[in-house]
Amino acid sequence: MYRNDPILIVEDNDEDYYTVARVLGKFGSFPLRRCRQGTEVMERLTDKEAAIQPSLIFLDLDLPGKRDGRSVLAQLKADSRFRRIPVVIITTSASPSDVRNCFDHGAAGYMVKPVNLDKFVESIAGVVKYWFEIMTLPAKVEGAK
Amino acid sequence: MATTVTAKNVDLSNCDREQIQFAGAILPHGFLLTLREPEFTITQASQNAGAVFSVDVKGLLGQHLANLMDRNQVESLRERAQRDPLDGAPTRVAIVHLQGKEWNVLAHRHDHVLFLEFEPRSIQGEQSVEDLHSELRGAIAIIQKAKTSQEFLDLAVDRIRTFISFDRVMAYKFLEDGSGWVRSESVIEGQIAYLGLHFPPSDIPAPAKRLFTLSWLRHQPDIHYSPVPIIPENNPLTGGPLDLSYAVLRSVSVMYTGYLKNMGTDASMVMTLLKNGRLWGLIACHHHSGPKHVPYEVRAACEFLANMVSLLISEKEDLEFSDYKLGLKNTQAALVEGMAESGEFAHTLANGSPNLMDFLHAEGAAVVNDGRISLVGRTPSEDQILSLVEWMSVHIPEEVFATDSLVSVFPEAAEFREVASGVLAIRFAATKKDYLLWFRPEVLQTVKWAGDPHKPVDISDDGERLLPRTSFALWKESVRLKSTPWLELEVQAARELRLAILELVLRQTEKLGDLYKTLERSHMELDAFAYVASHDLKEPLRGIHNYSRFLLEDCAEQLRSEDVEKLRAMARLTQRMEDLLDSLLHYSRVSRNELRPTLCDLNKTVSDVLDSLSVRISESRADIRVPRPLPNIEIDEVSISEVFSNLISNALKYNDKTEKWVEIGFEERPGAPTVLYVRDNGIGIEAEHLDTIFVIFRRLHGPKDFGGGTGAGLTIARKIVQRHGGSMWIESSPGIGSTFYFTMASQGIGGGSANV
Repeated sequence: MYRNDPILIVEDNDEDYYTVARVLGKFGSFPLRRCRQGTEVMERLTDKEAAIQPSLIFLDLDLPGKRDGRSVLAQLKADSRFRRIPVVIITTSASPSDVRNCFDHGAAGYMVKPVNLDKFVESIAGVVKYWFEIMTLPAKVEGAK
Repeated sequence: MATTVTAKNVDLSNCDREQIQFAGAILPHGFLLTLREPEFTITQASQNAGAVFSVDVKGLLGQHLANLMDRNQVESLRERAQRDPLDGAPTRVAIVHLQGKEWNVLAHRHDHVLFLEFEPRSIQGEQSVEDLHSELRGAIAIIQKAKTSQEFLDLAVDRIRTFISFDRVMAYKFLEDGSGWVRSESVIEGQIAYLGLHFPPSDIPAPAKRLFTLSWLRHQPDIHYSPVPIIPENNPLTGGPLDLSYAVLRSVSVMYTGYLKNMGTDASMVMTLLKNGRLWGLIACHHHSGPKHVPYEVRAACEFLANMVSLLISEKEDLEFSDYKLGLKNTQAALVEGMAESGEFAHTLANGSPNLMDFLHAEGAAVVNDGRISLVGRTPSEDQILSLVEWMSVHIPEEVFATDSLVSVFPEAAEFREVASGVLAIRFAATKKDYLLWFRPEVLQTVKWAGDPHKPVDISDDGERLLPRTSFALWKESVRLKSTPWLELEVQAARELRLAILELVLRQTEKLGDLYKTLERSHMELDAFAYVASHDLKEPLRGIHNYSRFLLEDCAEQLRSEDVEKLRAMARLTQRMEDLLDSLLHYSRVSRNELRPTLCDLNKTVSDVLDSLSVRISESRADIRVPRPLPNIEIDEVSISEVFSNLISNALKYNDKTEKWVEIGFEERPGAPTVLYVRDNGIGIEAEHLDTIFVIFRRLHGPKDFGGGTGAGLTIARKIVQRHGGSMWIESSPGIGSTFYFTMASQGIGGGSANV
C-alpha cells in the first residue's frame, strides 16, 4: 500500500466529496480519483489505457444509476484482481442491515457521515492511520488479508 | 304365547312386554262371536255367549249364525258384511233382540275372522240421535271459539264431561320423552285435581300407546269386572291367540285396572288424540261413583268430538308455534337493529328493549363478551357462568349448544340447577370465549302442583306406586336436574340470531378495517416521511456545517471575531438540527425494527441500562432504588432497555432536589399485565401538561435547563411500548415527583400467564 497510489472516492455528492478530499488532505497529499456512479468503478479499474490501482476505496452506498455502493462492493470482492483493495464505506445509512451486509461482503470499514466535522476528521484519521501507517509496514503487508 | 300379567307379578317393567291385544278375554257386559267367512260359522265365542243362546259355549262353535238368530237378521248382516270392508274400528251393523234385550251388534274384520261384538242397549234408555247431534254441534261451536290451545282443551274436556256425565275428564298430553302431563281437567267438586301432574313414560307403556292409535275409544263401564274368557283360547284360523286390537270389548290389563282402582275409578272411557297420525295425547274420563255405561251413540259422538279435538289441537298448536316462530323472527330483527343503532352489542342484548329475555322462552340470559358478563333475569352467578363458559370453550366445539340436562355433561352445574338445569348457548368465534346464553330452571321448580303436594299418598294393597301421586313422584325422579327441553325451532332461532349478529359484526369490522387500513397507511407514510425527510435533510445540513467549518479554517484570520462567532454558532446550530433529525429518524425506526422477544431477566436489563447511564448517575448523585427483584418477562430486550433508558435519564435530568432518587419497580394485579414503573422525586409535571409531554420535540423547559436534549425520549419510549401492545401513563405532583408507568403488552406478560 503506497501513498503514491491513488485513493478512489466513489461519491456522487459534491459537498461530501469535497469534505472527504479536504479532510484527507489534513493527513497527507494523497492522489485522489473520483467516480460519481457505481458503474464507473469497474471501468476505471480495468481501463486499457489508464487503469488505476487504488490503494484504498471510499465508497458511498447510495449512488445514482444502475449500481449502488452495495453492488459495487460485492462486485469488487467477487473479483480476484481487486479483492485485496480495502474498501471503506462512507454513507448516510446507519441501518444495522447495511452495516452487517457490508462487513459480510468484506468492507474494511464503515463510516456514517456525521454532520459534525470533528467526528468525521477523527474517523478519517483512524482510516489513514490504519491503512497508510500500520498496514504499510512491510512485515505486515503479506500477513494481512 | 300371550304373557298374562296378574296382580301378583305386577312390575312396571313387564308392562312393555305384555301383549295386551291378546288378552284372551273380554269385558263381561257384552259377548263376542267370531265367524269364519264366507261360511258364517262360529270359530270362537266368549264364555258368556252360551248363556245368551241357552247352550254350552262349546256347542256354539262350528255353528252357522243362522242357527242361533233370526234368519232375516242374519241375512241382512251377511249382506252388510259383503258390501262393507268393515276394517278398522267396529261399526254397528245391527240391533238385535235376544233374551228379551236389545243388543247393538258391532262388526269388524281382523285376524282372518269377522268379529261380532254384542253390547246391550242402555238400560236407562238411549238418547235420541237428534238430541245427540244438536248437543254435539253446540259443543263443537263452543270449543272452536277458543283462542289458545289451552283454552281449547279446557273447553273440550268440560263439554265432554257434561256430555257423558262423568266425574272427571282430563286431557293428557304425551311429551317428547314419552312422559304424560295433565294439561287440562274438568272434575266435579270433592275430587282431588290431577291438573298439572306429570307421569313417567312407564305409566302408559308402548303396547298401550300402539293400541290407542288403532282403536280411538276404549270404554270400561265397570272397572271391578271379571274378564270373560274366549273359547277356545286360540283362533283356529291362525293357530294363535285371537288378536283383539280393535275389539271394543277387549279385556284390559290388570295393570291398568289396578291403576284405575287405586285412583278410585269405577268406570272409565279413554279417547285417542292424534296429531298428524301420531299419538298426541288422550282424553281420559273417570267416574268415581259406581259403574257407568256410556251408550254406543254417545260414545260415537264422543269419538267424533275427540276427532275434532285432534284436528283442531294440531291447528291451534301449529298456530301457537308459528306465532312463536314469527315472534322470534321479529325479536331477532329488533335485537339486531338495536345493536346496529347503539353499537353497544352486549349492553343492547342484555338491557335493551327488546333483549335476550324477549327472544327465547327462558328464565334468565347472559352475554359473555371479552370476559365481561351482562346478566338478565334469573341466572347463575358470574363466577358460575365463567366456569361454564370455560368448560364449553374446551368441550363444546359446536356453535350452538342446547341441553335440558346440563348436569349430565357438566356436573358442576348441580349447584345452580335451580336456575339453570337447561342451557342454550351460542358461541361466536372458536378462538374467543364470547357467548350468548339462555337458562331454564330445573323442571321441578316450574311444575305447578294441583291439590296439596303434602297430602300423604294413599297406600293401596296393589302397590302404592300405581297411584297418580306416586307416579308423579316417580316422574319427578326422572326429571330431576332437567329443564324443559329446547324446541328445535328455538335452537334454529338461536342459530339464526348468531348468524345475524356475526353479519352485523362483520359489517362493522369491515368499516373499522377500512378505517384501520387508512390509519395504518397514514402511519406508515408518516414513518416513511420521517425517515426520508431526516435522511435527506441531513445531506445539505452536512454541507452547511462543513462549509462553515472550512470557512473558519480558511479565513479565520481575515474575519472579525464576531464573524468567527457567527460561523461557530452556525456550526453549532447545524449540529442541533442533526440531533433533532436523528431523533426523528430514531422515532420512525421504532416502528420498523424487527422485534425479537426473548425471556428477559429485567434485573439484568435494568442493571445494564444503569451501567450505560453510570456517568450521568454519578454526576447527578442520584440514589437508584430497586425495592424488590424485577420479574422475568418475554420481550424484545433492545426495546425495553431503551424504554428504561429514556425514563431513567428523564428522571435523572428533571430533578432539582439535593438528594435525588429514582425508583424502578413493578406492580402486579391478577388478570392484568405487569405494570412497570420508574419513579422520581424530581420537579414533577403540572396536570395541564401531562398530555403534551409525549408530543415529539415538545419541551416544557428551555433547551438549556435540565441538561437539554431533543425532547423525543418520552415520545420514543411510548411508541416502543405501544408497538408491544402496551401503554404508558404518568402520575405526577409538581415539586414532589413523577411516576411513569408502563406495560409492555395488552395481556399477561408476567407471572403465570406469559401470553405475549
